[in-house]
Amino acid sequence: MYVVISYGNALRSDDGAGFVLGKIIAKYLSKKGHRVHQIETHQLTPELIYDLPQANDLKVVFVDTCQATAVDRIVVQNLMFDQVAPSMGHQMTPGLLLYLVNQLLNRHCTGWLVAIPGWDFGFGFELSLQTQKCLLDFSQNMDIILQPLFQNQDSGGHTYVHRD
Amino acid sequence: MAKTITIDPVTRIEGHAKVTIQLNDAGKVEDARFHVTEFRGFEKFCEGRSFWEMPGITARICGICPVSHLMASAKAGDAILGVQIPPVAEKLRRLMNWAQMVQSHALSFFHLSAPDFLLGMDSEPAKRNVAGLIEKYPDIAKRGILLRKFGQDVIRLLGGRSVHPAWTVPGGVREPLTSEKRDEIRDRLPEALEMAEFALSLMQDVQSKFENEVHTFGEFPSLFVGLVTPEGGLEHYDGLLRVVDADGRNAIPEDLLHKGEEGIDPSRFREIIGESTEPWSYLKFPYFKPEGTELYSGMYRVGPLARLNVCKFAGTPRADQALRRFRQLSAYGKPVLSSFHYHFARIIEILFSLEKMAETLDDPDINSNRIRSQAGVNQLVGVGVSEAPRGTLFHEYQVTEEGILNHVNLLIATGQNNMAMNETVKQIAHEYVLGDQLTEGMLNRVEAGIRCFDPCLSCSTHAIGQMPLHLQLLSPNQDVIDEVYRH
Repeated sequence: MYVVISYGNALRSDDGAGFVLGKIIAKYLSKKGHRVHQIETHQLTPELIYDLPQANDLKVVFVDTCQATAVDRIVVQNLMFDQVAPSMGHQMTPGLLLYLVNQLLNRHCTGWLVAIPGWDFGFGFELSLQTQKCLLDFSQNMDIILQPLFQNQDSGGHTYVHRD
Repeated sequence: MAKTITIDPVTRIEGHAKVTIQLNDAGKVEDARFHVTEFRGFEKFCEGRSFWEMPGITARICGICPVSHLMASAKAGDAILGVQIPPVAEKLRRLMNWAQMVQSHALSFFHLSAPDFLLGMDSEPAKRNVAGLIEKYPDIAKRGILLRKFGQDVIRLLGGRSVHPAWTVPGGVREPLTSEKRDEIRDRLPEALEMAEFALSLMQDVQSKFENEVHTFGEFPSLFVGLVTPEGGLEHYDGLLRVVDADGRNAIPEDLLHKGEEGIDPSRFREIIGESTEPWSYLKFPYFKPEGTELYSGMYRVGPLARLNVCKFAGTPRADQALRRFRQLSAYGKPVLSSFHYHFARIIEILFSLEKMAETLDDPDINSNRIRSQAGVNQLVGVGVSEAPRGTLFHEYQVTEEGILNHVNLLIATGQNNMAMNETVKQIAHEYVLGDQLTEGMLNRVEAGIRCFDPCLSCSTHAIGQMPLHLQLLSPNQDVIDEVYRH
């Protein structure tokens, strides 16, 4: 079963792009016949593990905005368990959340981070033109970009980057 | 040769900070400072906005304690409207504030500080975190998450979402509590209470293993500030602002007190609290004015430890029982002085909050729809004060006749603990820094000492940040002799 977790701040322009992208991905997976559970949240918190569906083999797709300096298009990254908590107070990493699911709930889970580049993080509801263009490119190439979600993960945690 | 050790940034607290420890020529600790190196400036960019927007804006100062800002901001709005909010609205606000105490304190105790207690101050840094805790004590980690989840779920049930709920507004709250939601909260309370009792027994078990830390983690005389009920009980939302000294005596000058009262109306806080700044930190240094304006002369502490020291009783059976045990940590009638006991105090406050929630949910009027008082601008200044998990929170607004803000001042708990945190770092450094030997145990303890206060730098500066560790050894002329990073 797939769980799509989108997170960010919809009031800070491109920081809310994950919510738009998460909906597109959830719809795409449903159309392909997969069971999909969608979660939208402001930030990743430890108690989120108890909001996950009671399935034994979870495929968790985290969707978040990252600075355009890190990526220039939508990328999919295989996640590994993250045992280091940089700051447990405010937020968690997707890898740490997977680790909690695995360790505390004894459930097998694999995960990916789908990152969308953001340029504008100022106050506002609208996405920047660059981020909108990334979404458009993505919707035209979803079959290729989302391929890693259907492959068996290796343990290398490599990043799959879609290039035109 | 005199040297300075820098720990930068401090880990597992909210925000970005560093610590410098100045050694003298003999290699002894001369001074230690807790620097907050980030700046956000919420007060400034709120100017020009409407006071109606302020709960929503200021809640975004922090993802951990947005509810606290909602409360103080809405109360400042109530004051601008010049209204008394409906009784049920006040009860619902209190309910959310207690839920906030539960979730924030659970996070602080189980996830941020439990690795220190259970894995040991000298354990390997790579393992002394929540992942290490899960590996060794999965059940404890699980209970911590579940207790926090309970608090977050109550906030979500009341406000529609757990982070930044736009539910508390000037004049009251937006939505009433349905009987279904009341029953859901009520049904889950026994389990939450059981987890709080578990935390209490855990704390009592580990406390004896940290006798040295108890005496070196900020054990010094200071003033304590917090809200109390008019009868002197533990209070998190309203009441009187009380200040006691290190002997437990009232510290507010008699001429400022109304006859028979042991505290002042919190909106008069400016009469007793001033704010100073230091060039080496963005965090302000609030002080108790009657003790003078010199740095450290008016040092006071806020938060769970202070609240338990200023109140005469808690007001609920389980919390009062635990409070009696807490008071045995000091001489009869005297405040508990060690900042290490912030942890114990947090658990007592969790118990208290859960008991008060149960009591409030039994109120026959709790589902009433009369939840908001309507008015326009009637006062040009409004002060809202409530107790946040980390201590007393003040929001002070000045508005135009149209309700547009022309001055905003936010006095945050972590800022008020600034002097005490600096003193704590100094005390720990004196005990554990020997010459220029930088041991993990020393670094761990400096960080753990700061974590007693559970500082939220996002709120207090008001900024965001992440925290690896950076340690610098500096010569008397500030040249870097040695550096260590811990990521």
